[in-house]
Amino acid sequence: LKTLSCIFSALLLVSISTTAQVKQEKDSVEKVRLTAVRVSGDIVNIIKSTIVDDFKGWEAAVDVELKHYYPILEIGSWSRDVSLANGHYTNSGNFWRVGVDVNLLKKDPVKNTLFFGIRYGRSSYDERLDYVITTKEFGQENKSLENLNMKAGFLELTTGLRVKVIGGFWMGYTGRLKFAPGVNESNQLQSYDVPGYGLTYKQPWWGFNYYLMWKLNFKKKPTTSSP
Amino acid sequence: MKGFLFLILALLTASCFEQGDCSDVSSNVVQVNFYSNSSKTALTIELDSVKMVDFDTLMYVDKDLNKVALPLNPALNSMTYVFYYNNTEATLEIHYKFKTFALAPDCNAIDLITLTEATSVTAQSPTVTQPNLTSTTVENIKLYF
Repeated sequence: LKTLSCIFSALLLVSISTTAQVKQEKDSVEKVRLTAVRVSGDIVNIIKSTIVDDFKGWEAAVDVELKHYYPILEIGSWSRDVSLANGHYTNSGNFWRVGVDVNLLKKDPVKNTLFFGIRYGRSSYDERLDYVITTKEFGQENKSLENLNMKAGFLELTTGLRVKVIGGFWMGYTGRLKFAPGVNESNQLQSYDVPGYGLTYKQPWWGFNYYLMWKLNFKKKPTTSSP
Repeated sequence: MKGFLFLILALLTASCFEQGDCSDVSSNVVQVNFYSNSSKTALTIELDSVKMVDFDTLMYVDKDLNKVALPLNPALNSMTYVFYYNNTEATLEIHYKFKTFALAPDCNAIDLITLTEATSVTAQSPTVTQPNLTSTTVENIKLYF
């Protein structure tokens, strides 16, 4: 995990330093306006759902293009079914993230995107733990605990790449450094996994999505020239 | 192509990073040390026995001890013990709560026990010095005689 955190940190540092190195563009007179909307579907969670036994989930996103800024909304759902040495843990829930990405490739003609950004995420989920506690004095005790309607929040730093493939079809990935999970700890059962964040005992934690995207560009209004 | 290679690599290695630490320091045993009511120093008691109320279990029969380890039932939230010594008895009632953690895949789910209150009927009020029960704790409660 430390290695991954270092990789993410390095990527972010490279991104930031790249920004610093780019000569400051002269302010263009072009107004910041909505020029495109992009809908994305994540394939990592779909593949993971088929090859990993304890995970089922999906993620999608929609972002809009405002000059070099890309406000983004991500939604998703996941459930986990984890076998423990003395029991079984399950959860299921939905999550959303909002944030903005900043494109570092400001002069790319097709607006390919090398970005960094930030997200705030919220998750709502249910979880259940069935387990057996064994003590030499009292023997085995079967226990079941459940947390319903749990809420959690978290933050992410993101970086990644989005590249035009052909027409409106784009592909790209997002790496996430997840941190500051805010989880209700007053219940007896402490949350093990928060949908959208991951394992609560991993702080920070990481995430990765590979997106297939469709981008819809808005045409500029034709300007009327006066004779 | 490089992106896909990275994707496959990430998927293959993802589960490795989910491995957690299975080390378990949880304990259901509360460490009770004896102290003199007057001098507040460690005290050795000639115990006739210690009875676990509601379980008809006798422990520490005819022992000279300055501390005992008392098991707490993970199915309950309070336990009562009666100390018989020198033809007298002292009752210690312990209240506790749980926080339950699933440690990691293929590791245990554990109950961490926290003492919420300890009361004594005949001895001076005991002091909870360390509310969290772990396998390495040497004293949770000071019990005065």
